[in-house]
Amino acid sequence: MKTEELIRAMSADDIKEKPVRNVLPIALAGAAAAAGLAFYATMGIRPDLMAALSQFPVLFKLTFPIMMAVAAFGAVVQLTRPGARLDGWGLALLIAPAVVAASFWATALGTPLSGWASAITGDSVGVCMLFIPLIGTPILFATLFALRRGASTRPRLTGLMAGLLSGSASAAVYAPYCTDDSPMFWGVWYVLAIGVVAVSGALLGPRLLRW
Amino acid sequence: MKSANGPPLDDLLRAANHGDQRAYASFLAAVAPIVRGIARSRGSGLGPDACEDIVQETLLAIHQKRHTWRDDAPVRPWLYAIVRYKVVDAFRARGRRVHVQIDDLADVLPAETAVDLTERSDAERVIAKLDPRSARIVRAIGLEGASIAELAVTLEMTETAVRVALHRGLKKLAAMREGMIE
Repeated sequence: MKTEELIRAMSADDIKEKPVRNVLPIALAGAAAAAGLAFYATMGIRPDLMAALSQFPVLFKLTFPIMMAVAAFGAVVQLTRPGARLDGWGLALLIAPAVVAASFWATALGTPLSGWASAITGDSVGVCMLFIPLIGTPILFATLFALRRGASTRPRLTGLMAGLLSGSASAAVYAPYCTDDSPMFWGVWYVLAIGVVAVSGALLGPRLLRW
Repeated sequence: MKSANGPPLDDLLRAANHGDQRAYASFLAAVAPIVRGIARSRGSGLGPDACEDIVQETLLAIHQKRHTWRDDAPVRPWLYAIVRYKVVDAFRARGRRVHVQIDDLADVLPAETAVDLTERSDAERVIAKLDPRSARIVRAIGLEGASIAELAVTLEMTETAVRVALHRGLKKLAAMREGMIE
């Protein structure tokens, strides 16, 4: 087949795929809702959630993963467009880490050094480090498959950002269950758990995002 | 910036995205010499056949990913990023490492004359692997210039079914090209 013949065949094909920006929210919300339902059906929500919401650390615990997810969403969509820049999303990615760091240090500086270890360890390190990556796994796969519609020329970075998005979404799903409210707890363990999902994304990206 | 002669690539692709098939054909026809130029400048030892295969592979990728371009962005950064990615990939699949910078693409001397690919070309080998109906539709439109409406009558299919078969056929061609790289 000559190139001009291939061009003629291609120009007759007028069916366009849906852009990532439209498909990703559906994949993400679907996977997060399914994983969240399964989790809360087995584990149950914390009974004092409403009361806990009046405390600033709890509000930050519940909202920083959402801020992180929003920024990662914006960044990952840009990464699936060849030649596109991150624009403001690069800066937006720094907001949630800044909130976490500020919350951590604000609490840490008001805590005597002897109390740091127990504040960081909390009561539920194991549960948190198990469930955030676990809930994050289906979300990560749904995200990566939605991203296959895009055209990432940097699959490892795109995978990392997809993992950051999925891990943050997972932490947002998990947070209303968790009763460890100290920023010294979630400032360490949520971040590490999200990091596990992010690194998984970076490892899977080059395999799943080829085109 | 203008393509060699004719309206800027941006206008062509924008019109194409609003359903103008002729604008889309002109867009692809204007892009082909750029890809051919870069493939030949990097692949002097590969031979013109392999270079034309790379051109077709890249055009198929542009076609599959045309929805990732935003109408309000300039087309060249998008186009060059795809061309660079696919050309480097296509050479890697043929056991070669090449470097392509975005600036090289802006400066490349477009190579207008295509070679006629032989039976052994990648395009022929992958079309032969399509299901017979899709293969027939892709060939009839490409080689004979048949229209969707004509094919619908000849093949006793609805026009929508022909369009879907063409779309799937081309998608599969692109995927199989990709598969040959693994």
